[in-house]
Amino acid sequence: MNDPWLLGRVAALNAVSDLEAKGVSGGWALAIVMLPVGAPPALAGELLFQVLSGARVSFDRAGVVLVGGHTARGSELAVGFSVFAQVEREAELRWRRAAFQGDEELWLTRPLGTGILLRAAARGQLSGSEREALERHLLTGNRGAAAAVALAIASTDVTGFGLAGHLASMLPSQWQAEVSLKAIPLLPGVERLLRCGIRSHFHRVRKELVTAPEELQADPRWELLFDPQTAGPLLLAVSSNQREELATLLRDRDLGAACWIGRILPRKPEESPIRVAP
Amino acid sequence: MKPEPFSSQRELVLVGGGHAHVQLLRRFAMAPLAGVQLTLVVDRPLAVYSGMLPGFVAGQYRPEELTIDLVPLAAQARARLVLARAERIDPQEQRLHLAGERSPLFYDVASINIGSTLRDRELASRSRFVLATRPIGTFLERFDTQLDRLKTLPRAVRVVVVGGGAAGVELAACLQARLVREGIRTESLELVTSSLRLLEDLPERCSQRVLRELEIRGIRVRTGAQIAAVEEQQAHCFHGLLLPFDLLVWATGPAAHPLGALSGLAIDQHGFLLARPTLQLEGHDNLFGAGDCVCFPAFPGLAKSGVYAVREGPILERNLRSYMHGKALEPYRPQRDFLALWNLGDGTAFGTKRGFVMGGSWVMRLKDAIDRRFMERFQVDLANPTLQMGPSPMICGGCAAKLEAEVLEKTLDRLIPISGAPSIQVGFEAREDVAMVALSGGTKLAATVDFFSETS
Repeated sequence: MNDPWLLGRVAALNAVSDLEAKGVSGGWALAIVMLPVGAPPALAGELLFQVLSGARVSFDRAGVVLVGGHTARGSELAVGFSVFAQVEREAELRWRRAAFQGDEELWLTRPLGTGILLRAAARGQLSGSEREALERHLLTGNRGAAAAVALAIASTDVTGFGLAGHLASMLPSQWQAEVSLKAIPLLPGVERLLRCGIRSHFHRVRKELVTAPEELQADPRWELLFDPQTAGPLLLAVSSNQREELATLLRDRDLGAACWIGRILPRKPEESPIRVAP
Repeated sequence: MKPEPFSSQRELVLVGGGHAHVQLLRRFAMAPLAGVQLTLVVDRPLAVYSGMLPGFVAGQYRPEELTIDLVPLAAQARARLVLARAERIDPQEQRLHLAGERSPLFYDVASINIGSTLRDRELASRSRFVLATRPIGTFLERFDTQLDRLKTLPRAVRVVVVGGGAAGVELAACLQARLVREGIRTESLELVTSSLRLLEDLPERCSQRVLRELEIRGIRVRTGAQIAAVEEQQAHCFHGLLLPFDLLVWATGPAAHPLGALSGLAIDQHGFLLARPTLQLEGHDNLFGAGDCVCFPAFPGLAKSGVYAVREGPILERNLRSYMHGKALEPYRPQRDFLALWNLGDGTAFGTKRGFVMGGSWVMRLKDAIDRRFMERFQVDLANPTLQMGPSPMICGGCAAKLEAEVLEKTLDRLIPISGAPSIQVGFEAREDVAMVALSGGTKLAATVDFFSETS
């Protein structure tokens, strides 16, 4: 992502997504922008303008007001946002961890694969249509899916720790997640690039989190569990009796890519938090 | 190797992915321009090579054979790719304004290669059954849609092609070949032009020859017939002729993209950007242009042809380099005569050079070889990009650039727990993505923080 406007746009979406995943909307944001040490003032100003105007687009759409910020000089262009919002209906908030009953299903609202695709983009290995799909995905955000959060028991967004990392962090020690590899939705190009062996620089397979038979570990999709996501989807744990309502809501909001990826099961003490099924 | 230091960085913005700019990207990939940040602005990531478009219509080429994927090409050239439509240029502020939500882009130097639109395009926008040759980027899909529709019609189809230039002639012949190949029964195929003869830029004998070739194929040619109005399924000519159609192909001559006029740049009476032989635009040394979107007062009467854009590419590249390095620019001299070849869709082609007229299957083999050789140079194998790689491929951090989860957990565990803060409802120990504090009066505030880096 060597495009400062896109960096600001996506960074702001990602910051807002943390709150949206909990069922909180609107609010205010403060920015911290690090500008490259070597950039002369005019260029630094241009970079700042591109980053903040990109961020403004995301914030405006999310009903978040950018109220201030701070700049610094550093080794590279970087941007961070703190977003804060008043909690309107506390009963509708959903946290990452929850008291599961054992009848929950796991749903993912959008496809995975941005870590692999961004790496491939840097290597010049993305086709035009893959690049278009990636950009559309990065700019989608989770606002449309946020209404589904109230139907869930637990909710988080999938970002830098990948699906396995974020899913494991949802699970109290007595519960295990069973994930179906085939059910995980992929962005265009991901399958091809997985076969080429392309991985994000921050891709780390964490076998301590996931148990899988040998043959599934050989499946390229196995690696997808550990692909760090940028502006990734919401991961929802939904009681199975809410399934119909969730499916209707997702259909009404044109979130066709949202899908079931697995379920919650009781865990024995020696077992890992996640188990992979075909 | 480190990326270029910012202190020496200047912005070179390429507007459009035309035949000149694709060559530029290829050359910049092989020999990077030091101290320059290259940005390519295109509304679509795929560029269609106009030379092979009639062959696609005839069914001789698959879409990928005449499509240049600009994304890997731009990556090889270490160009930033912005997917947006260019709207106008502000030469005083040196900014390129984009359609949609994008902010204007600053440039030190910009080059424009955005092609052309079609004359009287608005006339043809009245009917769903019109297939216009521009925008060329969407032509392939639009053609397939129209062809599929023709296949479902229960009667023999009536096709009208408007435009008596090279595009109209080639499309009429290639469409005829395709209809035969697809087994679509044809009631009539007519080529209509407001000119008094076909290919009026060329000698009379070329017109005669091409007319004969079309008539042999059952294509009726109507000259001196200008379209006055287009309805859903019929077109009216000014002299009263009524042309019913199931498909109307709009291949009239080139018209200027509105960018020039909207930008207040120097343009001719048709709206084309005025360019000097150095390919610099009139009045602005840091603006360059090539291809159909420019015209040269120094070379009046130069036809709009992809051939010129192709030849301008290398000169544009050398002049941009020279300009960035403060060196003298070389003038472009359009060739007085060039080998012009037209695909007739049935395995034969027709062409002229220096007044000689030639035709037959050997001419088509020659055209095919020339076109394929041109296209080959822009194909990048995505599994193994072969053009030279950049000095330091950027690593996108995004939010992937987090501290490893286990290290984070362990480190946070080492901190002394926070106690005695009852207003903190979801805090440090909860390890949630969002914190929540209770304010006085019962209001609750949720807060989060996120950080993104460009590289790491």
